[in-house]
Amino acid sequence: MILTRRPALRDATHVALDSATTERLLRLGATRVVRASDRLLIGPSRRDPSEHAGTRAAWWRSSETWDRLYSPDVRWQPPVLVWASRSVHDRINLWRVLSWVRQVGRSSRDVFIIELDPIASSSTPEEPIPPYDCTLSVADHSDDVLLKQFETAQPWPITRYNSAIALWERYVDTNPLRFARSCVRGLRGVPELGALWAFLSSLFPRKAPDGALRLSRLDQLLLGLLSAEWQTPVGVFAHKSEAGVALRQLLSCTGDLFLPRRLDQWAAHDSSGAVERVAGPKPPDYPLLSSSYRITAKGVHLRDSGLDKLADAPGLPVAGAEAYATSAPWIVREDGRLTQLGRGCAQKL
Amino acid sequence: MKGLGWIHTRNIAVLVCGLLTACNYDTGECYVRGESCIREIDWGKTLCADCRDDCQAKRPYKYTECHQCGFE
Repeated sequence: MILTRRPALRDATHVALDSATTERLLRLGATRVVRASDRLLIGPSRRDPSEHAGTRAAWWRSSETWDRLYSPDVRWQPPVLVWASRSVHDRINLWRVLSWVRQVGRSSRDVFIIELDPIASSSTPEEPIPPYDCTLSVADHSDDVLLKQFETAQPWPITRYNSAIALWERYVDTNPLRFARSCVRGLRGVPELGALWAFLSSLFPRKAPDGALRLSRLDQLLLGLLSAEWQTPVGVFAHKSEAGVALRQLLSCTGDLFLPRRLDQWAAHDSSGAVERVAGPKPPDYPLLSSSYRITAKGVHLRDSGLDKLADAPGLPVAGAEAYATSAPWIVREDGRLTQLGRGCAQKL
Repeated sequence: MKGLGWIHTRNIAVLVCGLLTACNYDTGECYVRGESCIREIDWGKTLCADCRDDCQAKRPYKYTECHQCGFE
C-alpha cells in the first residue's frame, strides 16, 4: 500500500494494459485502475468504440470482461496515468487508450504515459526473442522502479500524442495499406513499427517470386507441425523443432488459446478439408487438450504447393482487415510489402 | 523414459539440449494440471502461457502459481 503516502498517485486514474499490471497497481494502493487489456494483434478491431467492444467480445467468446476501457463506470478523473511496456501488444493498446481518452474529453496535458523499458538480463533466453516482443509487462518491474518512473512521468508532446491516435485510426482502417506503409517506411518516434509489421505480415497469405499463392507464415508453420498422427494443441505448441520455436514466437502475441481456435477454423473449413479433428484426451474445459488434429492429403498439398485460391484457407480478421478475404485479397510479397491480389502497382506500398 | 521432458530443472535441460527446453515441457505439464493453471489471465492467454513466457525469458514469474503448475 505504498501509494497511501502519495495521494497524487493514489487518486489518479491508472490504466493498466494487462492483468498482472492491474493487480500490481491495486496492490500498491491505487484506487482507480482501469484494465484496458486486449490482445489486439489478432482478431478484428473497429474505429467506432461501441462496435469495437462488441466485435471483440464476439471474437473472444469470453464471459469475462477483461477490457474495461469503454466502461461507463470509469470517470477518467485526471491525471490519467497510462502504464506501458515496450511490447508491441502494449503499444497498440496504448494508441487505442489515447484515442479513447481524447474522445471522453481529456486533454493530452492530463495524460501521463509511463513507459517501462525491458529489464536488461545477463541470462540468455532459452529460445530466441523475436523482433516483436509481446511478453514484456510493466509488472516485470519492481515497485521501486514503478514509483521512480511515476516521479519523472510527463505528458507526451502533442505531436507525439496525435501521432499515436493517428496510428490507431490507420490500424482499424478496413484498408490496411496506410498502416502497413507506416510500418515499412517507419515513423519518427515510433521505433516499434518495424517489429510490429514483422508480426502482422505473418498473418497474411504470401505471394512467392514464382507467382504462387502461399499460406501465411503462421498457417505454414501450423500445417507444417501437424502430421498424419493425431496431435493435441499442446503437442503442437511444445513441438521440439525450429518450426515449433517460430510458432511459439507468433503465439506469444496472439495468446496460446488462439492455437486451438485456428486449428478449429481449419478443421471446420469445408472447402479445403485440410485438417481433421477428433475428441482429445481431456474434457472441453481443457482448451488445449480437448481435441486432437491431423493433416490430410489436401492439407499437405496446400502446405507444400500453395493455395489454388484464397478461399482454400479460413479467413482471419486482423485489425480492420481480414486475411484470406476474397473481397479484399491482401497478400504479402516476398519483400514483406503488402499488396492486393490482382491489382496493379498502384495498390502496392 | 520419454526423453528429456522428464527433467524438471530448467537449467539441466538446457545443458542437455538447447532445443528440448524444460519450459516447453513444463508448459505441457501445466496444461494437464487444469483448473487454476489453465485459467485465462487475459483475453486469449492462459496462466500456463504467461508462466512459459517468463520461464523462457528467465524472468521472475509474475504469478506465484507458476510453481504449482509445473514450472521450476
